[in-house]
Amino acid sequence: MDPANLSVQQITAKINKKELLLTELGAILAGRSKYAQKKLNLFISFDPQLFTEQIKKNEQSTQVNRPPLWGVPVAIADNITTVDQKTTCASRLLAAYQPPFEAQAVSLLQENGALLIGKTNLEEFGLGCAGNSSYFKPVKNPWDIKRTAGSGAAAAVASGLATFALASDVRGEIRQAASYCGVIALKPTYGKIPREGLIDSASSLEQTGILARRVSDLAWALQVLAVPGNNNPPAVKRPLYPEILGNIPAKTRIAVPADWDQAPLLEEGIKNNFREQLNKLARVGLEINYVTLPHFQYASLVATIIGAVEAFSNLSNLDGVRFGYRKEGKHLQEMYIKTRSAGFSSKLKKFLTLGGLLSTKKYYNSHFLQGQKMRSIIKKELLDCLQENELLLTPTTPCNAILLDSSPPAGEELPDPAAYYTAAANLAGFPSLNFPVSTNGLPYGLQFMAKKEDEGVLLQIAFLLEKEPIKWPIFALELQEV
Amino acid sequence: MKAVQEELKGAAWDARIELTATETKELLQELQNFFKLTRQLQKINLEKTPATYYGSEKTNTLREDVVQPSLPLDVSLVNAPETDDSCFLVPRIIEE
Repeated sequence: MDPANLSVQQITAKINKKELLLTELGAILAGRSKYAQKKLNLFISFDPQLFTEQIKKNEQSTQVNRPPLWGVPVAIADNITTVDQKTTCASRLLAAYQPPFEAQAVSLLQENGALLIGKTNLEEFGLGCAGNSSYFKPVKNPWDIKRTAGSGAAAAVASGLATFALASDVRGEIRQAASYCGVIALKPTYGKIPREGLIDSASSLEQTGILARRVSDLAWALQVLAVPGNNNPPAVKRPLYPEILGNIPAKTRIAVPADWDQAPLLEEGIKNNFREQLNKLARVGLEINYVTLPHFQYASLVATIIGAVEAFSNLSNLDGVRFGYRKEGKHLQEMYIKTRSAGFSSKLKKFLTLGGLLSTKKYYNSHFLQGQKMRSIIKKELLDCLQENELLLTPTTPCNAILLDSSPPAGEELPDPAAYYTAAANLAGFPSLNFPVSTNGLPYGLQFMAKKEDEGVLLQIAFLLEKEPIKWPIFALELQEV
Repeated sequence: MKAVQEELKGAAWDARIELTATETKELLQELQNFFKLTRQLQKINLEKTPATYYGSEKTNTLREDVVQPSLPLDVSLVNAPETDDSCFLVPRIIEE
């Protein structure tokens, strides 16, 4: 068996029994990373020497009770801070930024023995998945290199470089990228994984999440990461996630919005396949209930309004004074404008201008405040639905991964059609999971949502469905076997 | 959309961003659909609905008030484009 395709438990067990050497695992991953980087452009920082040093440190450790992620390779999106490697947010403005502190989530992984393989490419400041805003060029999809992967984190997991990866989710990005790359992704309850060290663009929406190829690996990652942080509330008593996977309640009720097929740009292939998936779920004894969620359709629009205003405020400190890129000007204001105009991508410049517009007196009440009120309605609808049902199910994305040279360019629409199904969970702060299925040779995902702190049931449904694993395409398999 | 175009100039200034002519044209196009949808949103009576500002209801979760050392000066300055021994340097503040 390819050691890089082992699960968290298999890696730690084989290392403990000395059946697998960390140096052996490291050599395979280093070779594969080099190949995948050339093909897919999935990393912003990959330092083989730093990776080797981590391996040596683990090997020299005399620790008797090894923590659960001992020797497990993980990838980190490049908007989550690391002290040993720069953190760029895929922006020219932070292209050389070296954070002075480590994200708490990264520290937790390292304390638990994980090996950080590299910092992955993403859309600038983690906004969107269309492959049109990274200063470091787009990430190509391992299933079809003409298409966006959505994020380097999803591509790294799909390519077998990392057992799991951390990335952020503003309006559904980790779930959308996972849908495009055929992997599992969990956006947990808001604040469940410490947000400290996440350079976020929209604080009230954005949450660090986990991508993995196996449900059990995702469960181990969540077990380690879901702890109270310096800026997080004490965690609600949580189950031992890896131990509850097989315990899905016999009468699990799954709600499906009756108008799920009305999403703009919903592809026919996904529509047909989703219907088949509903039939399959009913056949294994799950109760499917069609529900009315009249305001769900506004979620992506509302998240765009809120996200733009929050990004306008959050990213205002990127001015070329204390850190990052600077373009000189005759005076301070001119320097700010030149720096930000040359430092941000066109897409982000337009988004921040929208945020500025919606913050003005004319639009604040009619758009921003109205959006925040609609957020209350959407949250209440979801909560009512999830009190009657354990889960809410939709497709994750209305389409397969977008072509990188599509015309007209995709991903700049307001609101982004790719976030039609995903944004509601960010507005409500509820956990949501992408489970990959395949159609027409390309993957897409089933998106399950649960009520706050109910990640356990999301992992259980994914574990139930995992018994029928996804068929990997030849190119993706080729990457996994290097 | 001419009025919106003027408003965008002000919004871009607030964001300290200069949009190119192409970017302005693209944004105006994108805003057509956006405003069409927000008009639908405005028709919904939300007068008595409270606003939700966060996904979490918890507020003011405070950490222990423990004195910690400040960030060392060299670390604070390491990412700055221009510094002297102890300060961030910027161009003149007064415009000509």
